[in-house]
Amino acid sequence: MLYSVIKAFDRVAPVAEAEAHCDIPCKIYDPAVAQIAALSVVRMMDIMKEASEKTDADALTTANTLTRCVLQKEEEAEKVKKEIRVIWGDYFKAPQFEKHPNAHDLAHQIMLKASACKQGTSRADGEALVDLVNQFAAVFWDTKGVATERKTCPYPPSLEVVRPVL
Amino acid sequence: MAPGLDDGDFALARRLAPGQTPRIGDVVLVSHPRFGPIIKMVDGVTDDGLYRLSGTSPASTSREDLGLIQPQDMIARLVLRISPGAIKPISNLKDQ
Repeated sequence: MLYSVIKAFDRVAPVAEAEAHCDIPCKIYDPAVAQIAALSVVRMMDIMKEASEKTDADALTTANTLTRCVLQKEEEAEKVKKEIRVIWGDYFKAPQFEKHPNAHDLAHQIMLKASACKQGTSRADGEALVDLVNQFAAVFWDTKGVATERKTCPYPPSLEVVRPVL
Repeated sequence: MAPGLDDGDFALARRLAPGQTPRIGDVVLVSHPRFGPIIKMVDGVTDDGLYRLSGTSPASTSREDLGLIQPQDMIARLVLRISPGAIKPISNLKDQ
């Protein structure tokens, strides 16, 4: 009740705002890191597939490559989760959620899909992760009033990414 | 400053009178030279009378990043938290 009264009052005569932020209130948020990490997940899956299909490589070399890729895939998928979590948890607030009520579900879907990418080697999961992170990026840039475009990244795995038009 | 305050909460603060010093554990409004108006907990006082601040979450900005605060930049002590579902006094966090 009192909150509503103050809130209404605040609309007419705003009271001073103070950050009580847990992190440094730097306001620098960009989904690009998550997008590159998601692309890296797919790239690791592709390298793993190539390595496992090679007939002329010795078993130790193949095992070494696969192990490195698994570790890297794990790291990149975790990076996707962390980066999205920070944007969702720290940047998104009531006005952004009002404009994009699907942001909660999108963030959750990304968590699940990134975990699926850790557990398995299905490229379809990797592609779906890139797609979800692209959707999240489109929502993010829309909250900032920045237009986006879809471009194919000029490096493997050559998938489409959502970029801000700056 | 979770779990103390949530985004969008209103807080009632009592302005510090000239010469009045906050106690360790007080939740204060600080005019921070780098971060602007921020709310943090008083974590300590140096021999020179400068204040160290900290947040209440493990993810808080480190004491080192927050730096030492001049007494004149300590603006007010928070006394009441007004959130959508509750009104709660803000007490000294070290007294609890």
